[in-house]
Amino acid sequence: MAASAHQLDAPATPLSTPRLGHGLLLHTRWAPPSVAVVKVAGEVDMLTAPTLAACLLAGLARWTPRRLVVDLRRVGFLSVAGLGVLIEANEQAGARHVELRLVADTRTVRRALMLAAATHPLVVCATLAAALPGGIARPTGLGR
Amino acid sequence: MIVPSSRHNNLEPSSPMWDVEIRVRANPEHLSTVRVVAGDLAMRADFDLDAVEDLKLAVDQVCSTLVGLAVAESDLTCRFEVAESEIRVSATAVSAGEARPEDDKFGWRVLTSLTDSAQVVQLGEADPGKNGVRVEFVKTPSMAVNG
Repeated sequence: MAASAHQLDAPATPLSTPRLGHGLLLHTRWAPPSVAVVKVAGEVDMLTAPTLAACLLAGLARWTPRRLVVDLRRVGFLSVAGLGVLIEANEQAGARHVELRLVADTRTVRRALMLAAATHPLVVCATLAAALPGGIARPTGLGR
Repeated sequence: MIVPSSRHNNLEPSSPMWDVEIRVRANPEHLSTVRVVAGDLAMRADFDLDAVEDLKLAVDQVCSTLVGLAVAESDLTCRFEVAESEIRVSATAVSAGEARPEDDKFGWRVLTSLTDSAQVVQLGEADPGKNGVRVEFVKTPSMAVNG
């Protein structure tokens, strides 16, 4: 796979401090030509939300992707604190002209994301393919 | 003559079938434990699956907020009263200042949209400079989120 100009220091290794922060597992990779994918596993609550925030915000600043995909399919619980992190990341992404895409297919995570839908334009996809460029994403029309 | 059980004798609209109280140190590390208890109670009370998730979210939000306000080395107490048609939750902590849970606007809005009713009760000064603060809410088995 040809190295991308964006591939500087990031994708293969997690950027943010702990790979494993209180049971939250973050795996980041680069999908050429310009997409960063952060795969999150574990529970995103008051304890672990700062770890996710650090990863996403640092990733936006240092990787300069065109699109940032946050894969939440292995997240067992998404708290209001976690929602806050995603909302903040979405705003930061918007300011940098980066498209943020969330991937969620579980009841628990989609339920939580619905809470943010009324006031925050998060884009949620049911599959990873839909979140990658060329996929068809729906703005939070998170059907029931 | 058969005497009805005290539960049916009780004139309160929905008296608890059982109570569970969990007390943990007011640290973020214990939120997961409280969520598990909440989820288990809701499942056993035949809440629909969305309502189970809503209850866990609401309990987590309340307890997170109280943990954020709580003084060091203090406890968080979360009490669940499971009745036939609802679960009543009451979470209590000791806070250092006058901060109230509604000060977290997004969090409070989420809480009120997840529950059937929610309120903050100030318990007054526990020790000099320390105030007991309690959040109570009621959750019924199925209710659409007002997202």
